[in-house]
Amino acid sequence: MKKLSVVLAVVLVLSLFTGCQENKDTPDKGNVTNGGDVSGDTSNNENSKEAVEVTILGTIKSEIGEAFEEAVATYNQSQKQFKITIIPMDGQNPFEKMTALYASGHAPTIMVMGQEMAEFKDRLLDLSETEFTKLAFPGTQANATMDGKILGMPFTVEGFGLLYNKKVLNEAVGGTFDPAEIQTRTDLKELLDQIEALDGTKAVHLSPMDWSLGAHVTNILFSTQAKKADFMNGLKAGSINLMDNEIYHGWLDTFDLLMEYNIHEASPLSGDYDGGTIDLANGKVGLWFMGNWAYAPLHELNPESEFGIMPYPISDNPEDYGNTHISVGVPMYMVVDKERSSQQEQEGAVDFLTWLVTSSEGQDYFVNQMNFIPTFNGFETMPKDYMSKEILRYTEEGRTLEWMNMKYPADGWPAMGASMQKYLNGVIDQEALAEEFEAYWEKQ
Amino acid sequence: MKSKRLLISTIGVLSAVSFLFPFFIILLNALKNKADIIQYPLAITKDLSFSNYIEAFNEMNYLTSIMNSLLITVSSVIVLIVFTSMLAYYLVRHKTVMTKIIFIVLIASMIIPFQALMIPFVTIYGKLGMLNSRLSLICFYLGFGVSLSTFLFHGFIKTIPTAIDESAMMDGASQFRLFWSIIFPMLKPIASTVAILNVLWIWNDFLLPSLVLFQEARTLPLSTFAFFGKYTSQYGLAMAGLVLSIVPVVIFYLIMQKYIISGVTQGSLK
Amino acid sequence: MLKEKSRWKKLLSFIQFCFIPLFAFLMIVIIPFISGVFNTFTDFNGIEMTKMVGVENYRKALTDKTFWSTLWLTIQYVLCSVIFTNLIAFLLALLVTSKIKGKHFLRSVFFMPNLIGGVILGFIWQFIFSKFMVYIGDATGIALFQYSWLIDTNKGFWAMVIVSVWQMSGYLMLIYIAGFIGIPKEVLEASSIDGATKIKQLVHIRIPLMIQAFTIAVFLTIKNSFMVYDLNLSLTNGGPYRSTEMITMHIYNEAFLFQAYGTGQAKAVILFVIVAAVAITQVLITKRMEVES
Repeated sequence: MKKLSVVLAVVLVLSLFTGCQENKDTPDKGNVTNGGDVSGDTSNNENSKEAVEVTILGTIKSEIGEAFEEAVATYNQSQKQFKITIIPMDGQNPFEKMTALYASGHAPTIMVMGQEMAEFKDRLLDLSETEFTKLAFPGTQANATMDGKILGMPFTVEGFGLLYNKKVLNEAVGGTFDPAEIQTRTDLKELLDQIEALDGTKAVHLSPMDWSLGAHVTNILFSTQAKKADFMNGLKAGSINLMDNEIYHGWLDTFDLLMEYNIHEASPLSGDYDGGTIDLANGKVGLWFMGNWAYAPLHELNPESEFGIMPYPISDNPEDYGNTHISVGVPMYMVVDKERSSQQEQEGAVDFLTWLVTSSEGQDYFVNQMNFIPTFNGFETMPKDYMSKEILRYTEEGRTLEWMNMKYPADGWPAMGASMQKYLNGVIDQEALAEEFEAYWEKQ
Repeated sequence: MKSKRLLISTIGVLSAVSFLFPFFIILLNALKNKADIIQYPLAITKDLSFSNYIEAFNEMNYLTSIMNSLLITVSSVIVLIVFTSMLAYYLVRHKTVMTKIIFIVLIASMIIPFQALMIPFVTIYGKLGMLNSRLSLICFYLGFGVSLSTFLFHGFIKTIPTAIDESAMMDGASQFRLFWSIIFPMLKPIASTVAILNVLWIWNDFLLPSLVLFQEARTLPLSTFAFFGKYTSQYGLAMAGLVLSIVPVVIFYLIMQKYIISGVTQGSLK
Repeated sequence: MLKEKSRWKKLLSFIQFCFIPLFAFLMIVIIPFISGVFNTFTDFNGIEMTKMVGVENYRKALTDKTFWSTLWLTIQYVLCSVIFTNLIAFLLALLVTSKIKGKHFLRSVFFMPNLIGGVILGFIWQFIFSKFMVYIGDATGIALFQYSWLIDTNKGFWAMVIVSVWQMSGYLMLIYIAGFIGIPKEVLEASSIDGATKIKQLVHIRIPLMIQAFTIAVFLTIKNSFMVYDLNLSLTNGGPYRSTEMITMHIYNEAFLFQAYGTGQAKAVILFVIVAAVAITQVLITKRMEVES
C-alpha cells in the first residue's frame, strides 16, 4: 500500500506538471492567431514562422475518414500559410457538438452542415465571392442561400433510388439489363419475378433504418407531387388529405410490392445497412433501396460485379413524373464560421476548400479517394465508377427529383421514419399511415 | 446435505458463466475476421490472429490515450478522496442546520441529469477560458464527484465512535492533524471503495472529456469512440478496440478487489 | 472574547475541511444547474438568448404527448429493473455469503460488468442480440431466437431490462453482502437456538435487520434506471419505431437532434423534479421500516 501511494503521488505531481505546461501552451497558440488578426494582412503572414491553425469539425463522413485525413495532410504540406486541424466528432450528433462548441466559445472554423444551417446562419461567412461558389453547378446552392447570401459550399451530390447488382439482373433478364426499360410498377414487378426465378436469389433488400425510410423513401412522395411546396404547406395547414392523393397510393403500392419481394419479408425489421450491402454485393438479392454512398463498400465486397441505380416508379403510366427519375441532391454543405474565427482563419478555411476542388491533388482525393461526385466545373478528374456515371447521366438529362427532405423540420425524418417502420412491419395500413403523417405535419 | 451443496455450487457456476459469457464472446471474436464472426460467432475458427489487436492498438493511439486517461483518472481520484473525506468528516462531526442542508443538497444533486447541466456548464467555463485543459478536467471531476464520494464517506465515518476524537483532542491535537493522523487511516476500506467507484466512472466517462478535451490530450474512451465511428461495421476490429479499452480497468480492479469486498460497502450503509 | 475566538476557530476549521470541495461543487454543479433552470424561462437556443418567454417552454413540454408516453415507458422500465435487479442482487449476495467454494472469485465475476462503460456494454449486447442470438436461433430452430429481439417492441424492452440487470446486480450485490455481514452474529445464533429454520431466519430476522441495505440499493436503482441513456442509445436507439425510447433519450433528442433546446431543457428540469420526488418518497418509506439494531 505504501509503495502504491508513492507511485500515485508521483503520477499526481507529473500530471499537474503537464497540466501546467499545457496551460502555458494555450496562450501561445492564441497569440499566433491574434497576432495575425491584428496585422490583418495575409501577405505579411508568409514571413511569419508559424502557420495559422484552422480547425475543421469531423472528417465530413466517418466512412471516408482516412482519405480525408490524408487530404488534409497533403494540403498542410503543400503550403506554409495555414495548418488544418481536425476536431474529432467521436460519433456524436453534429448539432449537439456544434452547439456545445459554440456555447463554449471554441467553434471550429469549418463545419459540415445540412438542415442545421438555418439555426446557425447569422454566424456563417458569406461565401458568394469565393472561387468555388462561382464554379458550383447551378441549383446546387439553393438550400444554402439565406437572406440573399450563399452560406454553404455544396459538397458533392448524392443520389438514391433502387440500387441493382448488374450481374444478377443480366442473368435474370437473360441478356443485358437496361434500367430504361423499367418505367412502371408493372415493369418492376416483372423484373422482380424474373429475379426470384433465379436460384437462391430473393428480389429485394428493403432496409428498415429510420433515416432510409423517413428521409429517402418519403422524399419520393414529396418530390413527385405536382406542386411540391403547396403540398408541404397544405400538410402543415391540415388541408391535405393523403388518402385522396393519387401519388400517395401509387408510392405506397410500389412500397407494398417491394415489401412482398423483400428478403426479410417474414421479419421486415431484421435488415440493416451492413446486411443490405452484403446481400446486394454477393447477389443474394438483385435490388436494394439505398444511395450511391453504398457504392464503395459494395465494390469492395464484390469487385467483379457492377452496381447501378434506377428509379422507384410510382404508377403504371411511364409518362408520370418521377417514374424515370432518381432523387439527386446535395447532402451537406461546408460552412465557415465568421463569429469566433479570425479573419485569417476564415481565409485559411476558404483556401483549403478551394484547394480541395480546384487543385489536381485535391480533386484526386475528392473523386478517387473519397468517392464524391463533383458539383463544380473544371474538374479534370471525373468519377469512373458505374453508379456515379449513371447519376451524372440522370443529372445531365434533367431526370432528377429534388431532395425535399432538406425542407423537412429537424424531427421530420425520425417521425416519418418511425411511421414507415410501423407500416413496413404491418402494424398499420395505408390509412393509418396517412393519419400519422398528417398528424405529424399539422403540428409543424 | 451433500446434494444441497452440489445444487448451490451448480447455481454458482451457472450464474458465473452467464455473467462472463459476453466477455468470452468479445474476446473470441476479436481474433476473427468479419465473415467468420457473422457466420460462426461461437466457433473457434482456424485462422485466429492478433491482427485486429495490432491494428486497433495503432489506430487508437493507444499509448498516448492510456497515459492521458491514467493521469486524469489518478489525479482526479486522489483529489476527490482527499477533499471529500475531509468534507464528510466535518459534516458528520458538526451537526448543525447548515451541515444538514449541505448534505441534503449533495444527495439531491445526484439526481440531476447531466444533459441538463451540459450547455450552461460549457458556456460558463468556455467564457472563463478553462476548457481544453487536463487540469480543468480534474477540477471538474472534483465538482461532479463530490456528492457520491461524500455520501459514501459520510456513512462510514458515522460508525467511528466520537470517543476516539475526544481522547485525541485531549492530547491537544488540532482537528486537522487529528483527522489525518487518526481518522483517515481508519477510512482505508471505504476509501478504496470510493477509489474504485470513481476510477470506474472517470476511466469510462465519455461525455465530460468530449466537452472539455475537444482537441488535445484525448482520453481512452474518446479515442475508442473515434475509432468506433470509423469501424463500427468491422466487428473484429471494433471488438479488439473494446478489449483494449477494458483491459486496464480489469487489471486495476483485480488489484483492488480485496479492499472492495472487505470494509467497503459497509460504509455506505450505516 | 473567548466566544469570539472559538467562533473564529470554527470558521477556520470549516474553511479547512469544507471550502475546496464545496466551492468546486457550487461552481461546477449548482451554478450551471441554476443557470440551466433560468434558461428554461428564456428563448436560449444553446448559444444565445434574446428574451424571456415565461413558462412557454414548460407549456410546450407538458403538452407534448411523446413526453408523457416516454415517461410512462420509463416508469415501467424502472419498475421492472428495480425489482429484478434487486431480487437477483439479493440472491447473488446470499449465494456468495453461503458456504460455497470460490466465493471471492464469484464476487469478482458478478462485479465484472460494472467495469465497462454503458455505451460499450450496449455495443456488446447489441451484437449478442442481433447477431449471436439469431445465429443460435437459426442453428437450433428455437423460435424465441429466430429474429433479433431488438426489432420487436416488447422484446426490445426486455432486452434493455436484461442488460441493465446484468450490469447493475453485481454492484448492488456488494451492498447486500455488506448488509448481511452487518448483522450481529449473536442475533443469528440466538434465533438458531430458538429453532428457527434458515428460511424463517432470513425472512423474520435477517431481512428486517438489513432494510438499510434495501434503502440504498433501491435508491440507486431508481436513480440509474430513470437516467438510463447510454444503454438505450447503443442497444436499441429507441427503435423499432421509437417504441423503446426512454425519457432521457427523448429529452436528449429533443434538445440536440430536433434542435428544440428550450423544451428539452424544460423537460430535463421536470424529470429532475419527478425523480427527486420518487426517490425521496422511497427513502422515507424504507427508512421508516428500518429497525434500530
